[in-house]
Amino acid sequence: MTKKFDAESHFTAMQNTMDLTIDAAWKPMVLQHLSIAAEMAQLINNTPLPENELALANTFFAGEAKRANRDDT
Amino acid sequence: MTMTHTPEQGCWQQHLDALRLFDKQINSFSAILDKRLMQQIAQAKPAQAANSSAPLAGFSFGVKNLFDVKDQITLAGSKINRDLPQAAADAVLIQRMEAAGARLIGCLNMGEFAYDFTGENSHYGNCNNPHDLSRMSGGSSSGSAAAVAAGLVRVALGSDTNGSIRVPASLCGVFGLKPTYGRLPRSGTFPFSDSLDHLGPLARSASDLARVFDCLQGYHPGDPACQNRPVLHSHEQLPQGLANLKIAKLGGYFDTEGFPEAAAAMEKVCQALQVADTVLPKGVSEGRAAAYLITNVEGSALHLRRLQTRPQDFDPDTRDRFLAGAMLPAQWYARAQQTRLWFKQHMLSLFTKHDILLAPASPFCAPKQGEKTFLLRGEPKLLRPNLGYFTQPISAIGLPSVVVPTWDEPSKLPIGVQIIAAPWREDLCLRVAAALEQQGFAFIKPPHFFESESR
Repeated sequence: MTKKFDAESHFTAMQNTMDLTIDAAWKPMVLQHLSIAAEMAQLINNTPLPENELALANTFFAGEAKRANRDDT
Repeated sequence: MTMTHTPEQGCWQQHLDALRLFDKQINSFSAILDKRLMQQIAQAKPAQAANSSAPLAGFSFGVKNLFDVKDQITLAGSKINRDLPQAAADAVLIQRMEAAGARLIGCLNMGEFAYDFTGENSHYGNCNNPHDLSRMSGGSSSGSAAAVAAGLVRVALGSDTNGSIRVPASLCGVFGLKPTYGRLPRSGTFPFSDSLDHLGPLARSASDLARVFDCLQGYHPGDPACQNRPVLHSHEQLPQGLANLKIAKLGGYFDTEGFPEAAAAMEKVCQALQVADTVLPKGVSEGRAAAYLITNVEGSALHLRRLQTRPQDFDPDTRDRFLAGAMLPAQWYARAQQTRLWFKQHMLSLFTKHDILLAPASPFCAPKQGEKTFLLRGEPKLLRPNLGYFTQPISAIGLPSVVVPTWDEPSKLPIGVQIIAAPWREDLCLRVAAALEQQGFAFIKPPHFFESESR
């Protein structure tokens, strides 16, 4: 995500796409949560991840650490 | 017809009667299981009696009401789940607790669908903090922490996706363990975010926490995330204390500037452990952001059909977050999972030099119920998504973490500190927790409400 996020227009588009019926009274809080998520997305967009690699299968395991697991071997 | 009780049944019944009385003020239980308990005692063989040598003989426990309990509806703190059929069997961890001699006495309240750090619930009422009934218990394992803090159960089971064991443990002043991701099977529990969901115990001492953890371990094929690891005998290792452990404090993102209660708790624990090193981990904000997005997307995906058909039946505080999560771009989710791996690699490198890392468990002591915002690094932020500011980055990458209770002197309220280790080294966290308890730096206190109740 590089462009400025517009919570209002995103809300309008996605509400229909996802078949969600959202009461007008709920909308301000949903917009606020969308804006928070957009801030979070901006943060992760800046991480220097390797290109041409997804490695999603690796993300579900807790992994190992050399020193602290020395007793396991 | 009057039921005649055996002596053991009579003891337990007295306990349940007292529990009912005290819980009127706390609201930690959603169901008290008298009938099940009495039947189990009646059917127990002599070797299973309370004085047997089973490791958890005599332990009472409760479970967050997202655990399946045979013949009970698994509410997960919601109104919506009332439409589900009763559970056909107990969750695997309940079976393990009972096999070890513990007695299940009830189901415990929680934040709706576990999307909560406050302990507030619009369907079943707020779970009150036993140390100040006007304050939050923390969530989402609110009933688990509050019931343990009030002494209504000896131990409880909870779940932790972003801090839902550790935040209420901190606010209620009890010991809590979030094990390594994949350590304990989640079979027979209502999910929230599969990539991040953990189960774990809360207890009144580090020793009880270790004893329960040892009985809960073991592979189970019912949970694809569960890893087949050697079982740790952590209770046996508690006497090793701090021997040969290198301990450091986490700085940077985890700095306590602006949070005097958390700062005092950290200082107390660091002094007790003679910690001089501070390490500055990289990428914590990004790791936490990844957990935030993964939770939001996975939780919303789980509930999408209900969000489309009956949004009015959700707790408003969770509904609005789930609705937002249902609208997030898929690319954000994929990037969040990648970022989580990147952050994990950075964090694991810290364990080449240190065995234990310390961090606050919550930014402050229990807030007053109904509070919606707080100042985070000078900026006003919503309370509900941010009470787990210090816990969320740790569960994002599945590290084991034990919360120990300390006490804020001005307010007389509890606040916890996280003891974090490398994956699969819960034993080290528990050794440090036990050492702090032995030295008198981490301990539980009886709740204030007992004083007014007895007048």
